[in-house]
Amino acid sequence: MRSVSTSTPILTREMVDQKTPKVTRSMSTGQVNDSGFDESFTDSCCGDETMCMSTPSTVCKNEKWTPVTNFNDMYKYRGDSVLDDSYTYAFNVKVNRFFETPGSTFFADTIEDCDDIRQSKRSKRQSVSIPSYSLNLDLEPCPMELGTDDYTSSLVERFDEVMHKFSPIYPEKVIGRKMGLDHVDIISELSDRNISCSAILQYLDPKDLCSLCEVSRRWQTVCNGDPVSRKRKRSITDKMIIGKENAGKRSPPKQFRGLTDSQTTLAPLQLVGKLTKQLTPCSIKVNLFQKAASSLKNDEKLRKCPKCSKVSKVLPVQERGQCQNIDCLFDFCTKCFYDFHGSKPCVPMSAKKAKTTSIGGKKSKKNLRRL
Amino acid sequence: MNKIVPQIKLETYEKEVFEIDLDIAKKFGKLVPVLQELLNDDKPLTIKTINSGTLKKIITWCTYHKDDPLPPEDDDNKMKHSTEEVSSWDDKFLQEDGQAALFDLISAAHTLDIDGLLDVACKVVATMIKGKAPEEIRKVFNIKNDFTQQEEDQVRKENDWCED
Repeated sequence: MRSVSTSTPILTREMVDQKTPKVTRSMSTGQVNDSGFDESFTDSCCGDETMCMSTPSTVCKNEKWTPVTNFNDMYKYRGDSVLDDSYTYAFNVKVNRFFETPGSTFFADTIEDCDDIRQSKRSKRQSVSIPSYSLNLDLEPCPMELGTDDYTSSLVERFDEVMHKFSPIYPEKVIGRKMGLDHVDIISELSDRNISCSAILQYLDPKDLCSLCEVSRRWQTVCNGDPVSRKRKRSITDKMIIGKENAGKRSPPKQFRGLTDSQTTLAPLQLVGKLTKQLTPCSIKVNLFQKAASSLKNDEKLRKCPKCSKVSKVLPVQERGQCQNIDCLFDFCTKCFYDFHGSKPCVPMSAKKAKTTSIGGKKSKKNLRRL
Repeated sequence: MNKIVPQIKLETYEKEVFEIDLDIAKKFGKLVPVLQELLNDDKPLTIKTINSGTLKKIITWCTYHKDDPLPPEDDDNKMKHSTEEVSSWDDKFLQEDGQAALFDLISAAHTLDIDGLLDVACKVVATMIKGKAPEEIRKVFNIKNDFTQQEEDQVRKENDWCED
């Protein structure tokens, strides 16, 4: 194996990249050969390549290798020259293990050790979800199967399964282990076991729920995690807010209610108003006017539109006003407030009236006859 | 009248076998579907998660409340927020062995689905919390205050109108 360590080691680029930290570390202590790399380094690299050849798809995935910190030990393991498929899988599992705990110093020389480690780690890590595990040799029997062995009756079996599934199977979780203790953090313990505390919380007043939230972080999480209790707590806090003087400052911003609902075209204009703190219908209008005023030209003026009383721009020279409200867009004469009529003189109010209600006219006579 | 009461056998975590009358076993909601099966079977049913002491207490409670009528099932009754109806016997029974036993009873009652016991025990816990300030509650349950000063102020601010 060592003979492969030439001055240009056969390595893929990723491998070099991954091992850079290792190189820098071992350079100080290890022997340097002609390749410029530490001996152990080139050795382990060769090891990698051998592995690659045996099962390129399973082992040579870069991410699986990255967390392994000590390649010397892995090389030792590989040095047993057991590279048939099953062992490769075992090795693969080991790599996964390492991947779980980068920085771990637990390495195996033989497959047996491998199992030992698995045994010793089993107690620590109970949730094992590595897919390649199922491919492997023996491994953990599912806890479900433990209890069902000696029962033949299907119902009892099922009950037992359910009990195993939903209740803790580890000795430290057996109900009754704390017997005799005077003080137990009941709420936290219950939530540890995924038992809902709502049964307890439902007997408490909202006021008690509040003080319960102040006990500790855990209790706060439990209390806020229970939808019914949270709702009840909210109900009283809201009521208290309303009852309090000067509550306006404290209460969270209520939903803004403008003159129009949010779907109308004025909604964007209302948004301008929203930015300011105090919102009254009056201030909205002021805002509108201010906005329009900023876009005025030299001789233009602002005025209320005679129809919709929103902003309108007035050209004093032409005596013409134009409403800025998109809904209205009323084009009017500033003198008579009727439709803009260009250079023609304004039709006097009286004349207009006379037109429509001429006494003794044809129309009125007609109307009279109708009666 | 010497009628033989049918009994079922339960084995606890310590491998101790308890013989329980069928009437009492019916209180164990989880057991009800398998009761008939258990009667025909000679082997005890193993409940690995409950130890003997707790099971003994549960049996005592169930024996005392053997003749209780079934609780009415309507929701209005269920959501009563009062803790008054805990009988003095229950109160004494549940509190005599300290909070640990109470906690064990709650989790066991939850596991075995014994509604009556769960209700009563929860009420007792609620009574322990009721009307107390946070500091007092911590004292009762021996809880460490893990809020930072800032957080505590924040929570208190949120809730302070409740303490008036």
